[in-house]
Amino acid sequence: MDKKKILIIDDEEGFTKLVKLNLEETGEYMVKIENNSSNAFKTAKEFKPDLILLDIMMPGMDGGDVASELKTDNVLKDIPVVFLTAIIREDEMDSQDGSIGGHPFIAKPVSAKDLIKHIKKYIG
Amino acid sequence: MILKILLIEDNPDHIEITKRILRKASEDYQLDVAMDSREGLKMIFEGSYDAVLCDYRLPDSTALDVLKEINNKNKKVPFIVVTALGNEKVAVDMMKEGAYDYIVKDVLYSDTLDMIIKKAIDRYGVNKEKERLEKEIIKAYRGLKETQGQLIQAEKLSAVGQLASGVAHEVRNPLGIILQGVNYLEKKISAKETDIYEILIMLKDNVKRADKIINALLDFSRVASLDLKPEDVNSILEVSISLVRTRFKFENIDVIMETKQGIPSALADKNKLEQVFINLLLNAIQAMPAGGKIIIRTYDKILEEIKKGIGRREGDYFRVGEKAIIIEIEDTGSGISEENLKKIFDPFFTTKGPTGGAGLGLSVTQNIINEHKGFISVESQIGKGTKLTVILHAAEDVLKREG
Repeated sequence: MDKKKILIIDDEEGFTKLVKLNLEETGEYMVKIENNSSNAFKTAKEFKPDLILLDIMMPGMDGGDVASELKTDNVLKDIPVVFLTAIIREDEMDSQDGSIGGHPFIAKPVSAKDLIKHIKKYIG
Repeated sequence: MILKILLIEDNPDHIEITKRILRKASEDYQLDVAMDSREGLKMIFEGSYDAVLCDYRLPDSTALDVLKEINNKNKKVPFIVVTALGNEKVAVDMMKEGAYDYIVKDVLYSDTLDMIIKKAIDRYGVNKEKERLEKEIIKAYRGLKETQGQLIQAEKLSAVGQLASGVAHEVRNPLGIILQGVNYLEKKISAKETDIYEILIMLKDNVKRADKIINALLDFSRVASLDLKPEDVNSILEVSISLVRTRFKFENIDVIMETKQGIPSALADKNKLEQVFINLLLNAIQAMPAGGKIIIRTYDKILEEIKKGIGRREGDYFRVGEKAIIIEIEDTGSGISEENLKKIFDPFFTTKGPTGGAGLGLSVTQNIINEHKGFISVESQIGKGTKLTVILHAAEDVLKREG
């Protein structure tokens, strides 16, 4: 079975590195890191991920800007985007239907187990 | 103006002389007479005299005893001692006790009596005015202090609120890294290394602990968006109680409900008010480690008295004549010291130690009540317990006012 490709766009280098380690450890995923949100579109175009994990608060272009840019591309617009955010609590996700602008989101800090559970919801 | 004078004197000749002198001096004097101290005191406490003339030597006591009794009962009246010749030392002692003046029974008695009485009455009036002004000043000062305290509190609250989302972002990101790191290490160590495994569990628990503090901070900054509707406070209380009921049982606490059935609806945000009640109940439980009672009361009341925040001014939260919904949560716990009482609504103030909480419970609670334009107050007695009172608006009054 082919590994699912996940692109994580987040300026927190330590976080992205560890998420990559944890996801790849399962043997089910191949993870690409992008710490610079300005390069996100280009990286997504090249990598063609099955799912994008996108941080909201980033310097320069924020998660919302990146999501809008991804929508302008015919291929990228259909890739599921899951937001990562530190300013919404986990238990508030239900009250907001678990979505921001139609995209699901995950509250930080998130454990590897919960992260995988969320990912599986969108790409099996 | 009639001046009512009481003469306490047992010598009939002297009574007669005094009557004559006063009649001659002015038609305004009205003289009553008591023959001994017992009768005199009764008349002083029951009547309202402009001045009291009291002979030093009375059949049942002295003028000093009469004056002391007046002072004991906190009665204020210009008191003039009448002494026999050569007894001025006694008179001076009496002045130290608070007598207004003294007069000696000698040849000058008839010339000076009228003047001394009027002088004493004048001085009494000045003193009374002085006392009134002093009281006004103290009241104004207290009001000012209270307002200053409220401003400082509001300032603190808003500073914390503004910081909250920034802090949440800055703290949760490193927490995210720690948690992911711990998860990775968990998979990398072998099952034999129980020490390391224990340390990892501890790290995870502490990530959760720090995250809980951040959650409290976020709650704190978000109360501004309330969903106010007419709500039954008794039902909200019941829900809140059901959420902590197991704790009551576990901690050996009896809950006594004195709620008013059919109480009018309060204008409230149900979820936020539930949070308020849970906070107050948990605090009450924590105040009673050896068990005890929690008494919960609800009632409605027409606000009649003008006081802080209740009045007719623009900024007042409540109007005089408005109906308020009152909720009291009282415990029989350890009580709060006067010093701590001043701080209990401060953000990050806690007496529960490092594992007890962030110290935000009551400041979040106060913030929520403030957003309801209501009041929360606390009364406490060391060793007896603590009572928190929440006052909310009755929905019907507000809706009527706002059309």
